[in-house]
Amino acid sequence: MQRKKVEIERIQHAATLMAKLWADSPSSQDHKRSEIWRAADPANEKAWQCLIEAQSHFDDAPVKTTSIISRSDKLKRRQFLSLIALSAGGTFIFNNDTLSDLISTSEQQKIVTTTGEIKHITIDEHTQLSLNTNTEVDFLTERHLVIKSGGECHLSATQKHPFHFTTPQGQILFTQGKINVRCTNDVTKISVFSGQKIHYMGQKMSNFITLSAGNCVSFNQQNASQTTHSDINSIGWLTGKLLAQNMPLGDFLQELSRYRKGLMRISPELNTLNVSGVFALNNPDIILQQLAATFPIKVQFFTPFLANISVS
Amino acid sequence: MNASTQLEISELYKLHKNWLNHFLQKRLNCSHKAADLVQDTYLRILINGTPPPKEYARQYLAKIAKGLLIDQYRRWRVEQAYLASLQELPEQFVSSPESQQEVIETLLYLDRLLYNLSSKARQAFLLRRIDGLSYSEISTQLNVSVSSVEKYIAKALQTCALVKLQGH
Repeated sequence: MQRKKVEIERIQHAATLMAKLWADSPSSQDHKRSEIWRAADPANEKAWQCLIEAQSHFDDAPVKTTSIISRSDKLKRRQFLSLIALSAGGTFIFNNDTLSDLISTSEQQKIVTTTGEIKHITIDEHTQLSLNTNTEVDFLTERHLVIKSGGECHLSATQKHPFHFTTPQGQILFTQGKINVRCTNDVTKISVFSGQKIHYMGQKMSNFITLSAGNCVSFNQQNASQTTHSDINSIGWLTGKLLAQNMPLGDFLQELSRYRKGLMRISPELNTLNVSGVFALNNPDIILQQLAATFPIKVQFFTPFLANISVS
Repeated sequence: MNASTQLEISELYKLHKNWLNHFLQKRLNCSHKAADLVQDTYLRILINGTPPPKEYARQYLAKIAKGLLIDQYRRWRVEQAYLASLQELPEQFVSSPESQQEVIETLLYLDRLLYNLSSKARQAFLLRRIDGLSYSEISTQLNVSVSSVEKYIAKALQTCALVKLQGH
């Protein structure tokens, strides 16, 4: 044990001397000092050689080693653990495609929809992304999407291939199937309609939680709501329709206001009425007229942008 | 391996397999991976042929399993970072899978040598040793004094030698 301590001290000393010699312009004194020390004891020389030998491997290092190793420092343990959970039974060697889920490149790609606009984007032959009204997303990589607050996306993937969503509340990992993700100010609502289980985690949660097909959940940074059945009506927007089944009228109008430019003032008493039907979203004002014709409500336009809706 | 050791290891397996599985599953959040790691842990003990004293069995098993997990984590990190650097290369410069694997092994080895260092010391050393930067260039890049760079280099040289002495 004692011998080992001496050996360690020798190596420490050799390292200090060598670091001086590696400096930009080492003095002749530095050279002399290290030569004297090395000659003083064969054990000193042995420690010196040990240093040289230990770094011989750096001669084979690829050119980009420095950037690769510092990049690897940035990969978080949490990402690793969540990946293990996904790669059940698989190996740790990932192909280049899944790689891009993890590492953001500098070329971010932003896609935005305005009020009333719905966009369908083909990511590859198996993966289709749709953005609902008023949505802003950033592609960090081809398979890592950041959804900004207020946005809503639907992803459909026919082949198993990891896809990663980041929302203001947390992370979602998806592999195959159909999923809808909607972000409001405080919560992320996920509905899984088919396919593989997905995993999600709020920013302040310590573990990923699993959600299987047919289910729906809302979560904030700390907590998740009770799981309910996913409602196919909620993705009517994919085909440009707003679907309602016994929906409180106030809620329906709130929903409609997302697609309409301008402001809608909705009186709270409207929730005593329920609405059912399929409405085409291409002109929200026509829907308002239809509602005014069938329900005891009053729709007043103050300007084209401001509509006031109350019980008549 | 003699018969009594064999018996001891199979006892160890029977007694603690479920506990270890549960322990790992809680951490990994995945039953498949936990089961794999349980097998790897026992395999490691079988290869060493030295079962732990009974009173420390669980600590010992947990320590091996954590070590294996850290190894996997380290490999994953290095592989991911390397593959990301490949993506930035034009296709014609990308080497064969075999030589990529060799490079990954080299990187892993270097990463292991430097693993216990602070990230600044690690970076200073790599910039000097591989990129051939001078101490003053490194001090500018890392925003530290030249004398700190010298200390980082000394620390890194020492760490590499000690890791190598320990037979890694």
